[in-house]
Amino acid sequence: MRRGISGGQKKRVTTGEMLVGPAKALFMDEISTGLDSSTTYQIVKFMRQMVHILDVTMIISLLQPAPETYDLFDDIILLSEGQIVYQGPREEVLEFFESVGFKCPERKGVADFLQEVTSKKDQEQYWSKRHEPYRYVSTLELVNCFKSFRTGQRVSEQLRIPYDKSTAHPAALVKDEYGISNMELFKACFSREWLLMKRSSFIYIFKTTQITIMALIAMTVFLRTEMTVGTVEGGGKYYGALFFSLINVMFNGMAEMAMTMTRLPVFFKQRDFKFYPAWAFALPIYLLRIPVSLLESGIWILLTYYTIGFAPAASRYVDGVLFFNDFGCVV
Amino acid sequence: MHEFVPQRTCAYISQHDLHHGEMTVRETLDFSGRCLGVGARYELLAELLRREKEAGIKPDPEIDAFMKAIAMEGQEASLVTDYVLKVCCLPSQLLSTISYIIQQPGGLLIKFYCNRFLEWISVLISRWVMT
Repeated sequence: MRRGISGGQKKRVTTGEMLVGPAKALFMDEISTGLDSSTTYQIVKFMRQMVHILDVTMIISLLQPAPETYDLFDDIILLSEGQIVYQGPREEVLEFFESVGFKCPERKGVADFLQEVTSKKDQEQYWSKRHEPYRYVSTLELVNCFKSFRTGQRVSEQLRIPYDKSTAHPAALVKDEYGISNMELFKACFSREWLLMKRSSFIYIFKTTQITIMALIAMTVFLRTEMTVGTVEGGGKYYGALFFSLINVMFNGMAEMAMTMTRLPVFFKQRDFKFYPAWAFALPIYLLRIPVSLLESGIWILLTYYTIGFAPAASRYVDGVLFFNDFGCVV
Repeated sequence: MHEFVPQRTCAYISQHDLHHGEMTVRETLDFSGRCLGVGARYELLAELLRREKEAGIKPDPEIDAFMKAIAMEGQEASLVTDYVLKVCCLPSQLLSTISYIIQQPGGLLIKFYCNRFLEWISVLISRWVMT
């Protein structure tokens, strides 16, 4: 088996793939799915380093992060029922809930506390105002409390000042759909396609061998010494040979279809992220497959054409190669 | 006129890891970096050079070379990739094979048979060489 990378590394590749671009704001949607807590911790640690070194903004949504992972974040946004309950520094979140009347027990993870304190079922256990009877504090009330809390006021004060567009650099907002010119896009996609083709060269060698073997079988089945020209019976056999050739060359290209199909998820992702347009994906595949299918149909015709006894003119032979090549390409 | 394209200023990173398993980590990142381009880095560098010239500042040659290297477009391998690989602690030469196998259910079987076939051929060849 060829050696690959681990699950955690894969997640980092997914992030790294976007980090190499010019984007400065990254939104990560539950990147810890399917990972254990120590791997999640490691990944978030790298993210933190990156945010601080490369000066980017990251919003990471996590479900039930471990306390040490939670401690890596600078700011917290707590969402409940579609509303922002808290948004601000991590250090001040407990203070806010204490001001409302909920206290996080000492041995409880803050992340778990935050998740439970907004739910109707688990809220009561954190009630800290002993002299007042507990009543359910709904999300809406929490949101209103946050608006009057100093962190909330600071946030709304910052938001109240409109952004002065004249201070921005004109190049700060991206207005081109793709990062590089069409020619460069084509070159990049072409070289990647060539690389992928080289990596899976085994399949192409295998397929060429396969069609050679099939051609050997076909030429011995439809041997021209046993097929007369000019009779109805012979004509049927020639038709059979042609049909068999057609089917073979066509189905030889079927494997290609499956291979392209498996690549589609990656293509959809990269297209949506504006890596390249659809034509830059399709054109290199199309162009690079032409020599392959030429070779395959060439071998087929070379082996079967004269042994089966089709029209002996050279131009007809070339016609045959091109015709089957067309079929291979269409597939 | 030209509308702002949000997909290119910010990036959404989904839960699914979709990569070509046949490419190494470095190749994956290089390709992505090549396609995404350098963004505003080139314009910013040009602006910086202009201001430096005006103020008569001579930039440090090493930093200058670095700035120019990361602002170059359409390179097959770039310094940015090196940097991201380093910060993410990723092995550059390994293939991202795992995702490939998960991606296609038949992939594992095909790979298995391919390898068996190759092994068989190499055993045959080594036998032939030995005799």
